[in-house]
Amino acid sequence: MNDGLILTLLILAPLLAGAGCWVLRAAAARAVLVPAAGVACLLGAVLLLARGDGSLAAPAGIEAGLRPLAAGLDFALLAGFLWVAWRRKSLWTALFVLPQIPLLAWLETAGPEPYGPLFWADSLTMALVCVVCAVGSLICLWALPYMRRHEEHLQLARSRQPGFFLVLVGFLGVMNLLALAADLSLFYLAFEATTLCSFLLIGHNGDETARKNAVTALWMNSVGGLALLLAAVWAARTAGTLCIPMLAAPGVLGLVPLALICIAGMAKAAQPPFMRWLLGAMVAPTPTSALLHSSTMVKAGVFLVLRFAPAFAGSPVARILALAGGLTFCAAAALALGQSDGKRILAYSTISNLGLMLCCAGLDAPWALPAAALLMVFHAAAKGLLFLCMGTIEQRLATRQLGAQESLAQQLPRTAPLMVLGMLAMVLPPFGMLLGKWLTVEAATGSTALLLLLALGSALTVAYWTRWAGTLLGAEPRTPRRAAAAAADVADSADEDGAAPASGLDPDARRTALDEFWPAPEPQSRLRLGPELALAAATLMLAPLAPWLYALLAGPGAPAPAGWAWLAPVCTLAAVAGLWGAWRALRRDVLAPDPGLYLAGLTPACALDLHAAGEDSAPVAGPRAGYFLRPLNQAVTLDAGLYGLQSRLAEARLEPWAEALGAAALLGLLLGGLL
Amino acid sequence: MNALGVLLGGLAGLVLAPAAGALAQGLDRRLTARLQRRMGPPLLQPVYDLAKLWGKQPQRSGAWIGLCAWGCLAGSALASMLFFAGQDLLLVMLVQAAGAVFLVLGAMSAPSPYSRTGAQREVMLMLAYEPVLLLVAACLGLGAGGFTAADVLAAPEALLPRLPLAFAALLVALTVKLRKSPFDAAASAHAHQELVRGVYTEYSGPHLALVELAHCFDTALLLGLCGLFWATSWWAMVLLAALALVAEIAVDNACARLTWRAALASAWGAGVVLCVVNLFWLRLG
Repeated sequence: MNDGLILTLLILAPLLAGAGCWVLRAAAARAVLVPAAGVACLLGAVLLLARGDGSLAAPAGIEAGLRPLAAGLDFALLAGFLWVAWRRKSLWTALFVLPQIPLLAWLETAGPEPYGPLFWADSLTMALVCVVCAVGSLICLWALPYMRRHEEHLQLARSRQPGFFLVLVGFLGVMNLLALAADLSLFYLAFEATTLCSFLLIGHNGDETARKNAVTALWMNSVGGLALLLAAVWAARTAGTLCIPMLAAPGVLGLVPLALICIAGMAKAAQPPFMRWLLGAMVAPTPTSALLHSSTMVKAGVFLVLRFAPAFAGSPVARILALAGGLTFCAAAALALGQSDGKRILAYSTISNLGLMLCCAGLDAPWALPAAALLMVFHAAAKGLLFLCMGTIEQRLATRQLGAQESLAQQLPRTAPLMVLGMLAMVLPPFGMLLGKWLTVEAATGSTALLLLLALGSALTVAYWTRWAGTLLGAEPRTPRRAAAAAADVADSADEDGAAPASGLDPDARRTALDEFWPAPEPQSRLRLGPELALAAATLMLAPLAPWLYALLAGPGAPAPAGWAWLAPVCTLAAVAGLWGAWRALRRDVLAPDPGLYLAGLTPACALDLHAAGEDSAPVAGPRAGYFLRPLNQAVTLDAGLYGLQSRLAEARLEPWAEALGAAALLGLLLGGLL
Repeated sequence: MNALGVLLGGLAGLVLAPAAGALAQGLDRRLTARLQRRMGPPLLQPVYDLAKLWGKQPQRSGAWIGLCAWGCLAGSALASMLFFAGQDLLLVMLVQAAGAVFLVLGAMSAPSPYSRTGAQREVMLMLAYEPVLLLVAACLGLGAGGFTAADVLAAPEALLPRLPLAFAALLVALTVKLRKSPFDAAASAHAHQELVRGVYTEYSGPHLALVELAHCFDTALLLGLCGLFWATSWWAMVLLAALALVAEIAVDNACARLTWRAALASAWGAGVVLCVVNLFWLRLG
């Protein structure tokens, strides 16, 4: 009975909540159903964790009827995809969906009877379920004010939010089904259902680019679906069963179906040559990008490969997978360094980190698989936070360009530091991403090529995150004119909840350094800030827990690189000391007079500090003015931009190479399986 | 290494290493001055400078400079402690990069064009030396059969004859980290810089003391890494570190500064390629 409750909470509840959002179209219904779905998911996740490993038994009558129901839904999905292919005249979609129909028909009629449990949970499953429930619920909550503002901005006559939330919330149930499925045909249903969700959400905005990118996502994911179905048919014919725990044991499946499974995972995880669909998916509203395309759906590909990793450990398939993952890690990081659009940087970063996880899955060391799972969990939390903050920034600035985000910490004093925290969580100790990267490098020491790729990729990763974080933290020179403008901006814009804004800066009050970080509240809804803060808190709190998480994922007595035991106390101490130092620094009084910038004699001495002069016409010179006076009293603005690496790391030049190498890796996987 | 050894090593890394680093810097300045026919400062000048800077009034031209200065020190100090406690070399390299990240963040938080241009260049130089350091650590680990500093220290024979190219690559990375020409586009060790002091421009007073102390930690860490290439006898380690320092001083006085593009190309071209060749050589031999 308990198992049935867990399955209902995790799978059925979000699906029903999503359906409820669509049927009852009112915003009030959404405001109740979305948090309810989140609570149900979290409750289910907690019950699952308490229950422990093992198979879950659905109620007796349901299990019998589930397989035919799944088959029916599968055919309906494929029919739907074909209809889309016909409507959009997409040859590629038809090419990859049509072969799936006879294969599925064979599987359902002549395939093996379901043997063993339909649902199963181990530590990897629980990791994915926790990620989906925690990060997913927070993103769905955040999506409520975001979509309201999004539609206000677009001035739509009829709200499209019911359909959006149907898919967004229902997707949580689909992901939980994917994580818990122990039968390969059930897994395939969930896999294709995530493709459908992605297609619907990418095309949500309805304009031509969105629709085109949705179809691209559809056919590229269909390649993955076809590969998975081929592997399932092969497994049914050779091994006579579709039970995943049995198939994932070493020696049961041949190398070719395992290579096909890797290809399916790579297509879902947007590895080269399938990168384009994820880049194109960035046109979707931000909750989609945050939920599907960074935290959960693309992790389904990694989850699939990790699930079957024990079966192909040490084989040529594993070696080629590790190499392909390492190549992606390095190439996508180089591509990210050359981007100036914030969401595209995040997309390439996602692809790069997924490559790192797949590289881990192909390595032979005993700590490689727990390291990949650890990376999965930490990446989901940090990337979710980054996408949410990026969404807020995009709605404020109406642009995603990096250049427009300079000194955002002054304009958005709550969101920008959270975003910087997310970025630092991707590269710094004691956060889990760095520890996972370290474990991967430790596991890869047997291969020179992998060491090279991981070293280069790690350096490129640090470079692009540091550049972006520094841009956000920058400061514009403060002038009285800019301060007045900032105060007026706060006074004019009402809070999203409708509350009155806080008063502007009081120049006579004692200003502490805390005020520099928190000068005036951003006009931002609590429902938007809450999930962002929660994700940031999760990222912070998970950091010192990383060794315990690793032990949970790897099982008791698992080997780890030397020094792992020291890491937790040292990093916790460092983190606590850092937070204490930060708090001390924030409480310190900002000293007057203003120290000013060192301009190496460019500015004449403070005699020209004309702050009292009229602001609107003449520029004001002085150490904090941001101008200096040239001969003939011409004002020159002080400015410093970013190194635009777009020409050197041009996407147009690098991306074809990356895709070509990825396609070569795919061929290599198949050949490695065949030979 | 047992727990007591780790603890003592960590303390040595926290207290003795910056002292050794400061002494190395003092030697550096003295020797450079003599090469340039000057007298040069006293050997303990870096210590006197730190004491003077610490006593100054803190002035922040960017909101985050203080926090980032502390973060820079924390990263470098932690890396040094982990190294001298005999912990994993790859982890040490990844942790010291964290200190460098904070330096850049603090420099970019000030609205100063010198500081921000210097910070951008520092990002590019970080990109230049980080893969080289990681690959050198991997070479040492593969040569010694274990990836912790303790393992390399306990190796039965000297590693330099088997890892000469990796040592050369380490010298390239050392040039960048010690801010010597030709890789000093972001901030120079000495008073010649077209960006005032580049990435350090807006760090002043106690914050400059903190980042200079972090630099002492980094110097000690990297010279210790040089010493690990002949870990069988103590005087050989010291000699190797001293030779590395002298080589750096010679190169500094001989070369002009490279732009960040040329620096990145040569650091990767020289450092990464040398390490990869050495790795292949290790596997074959």
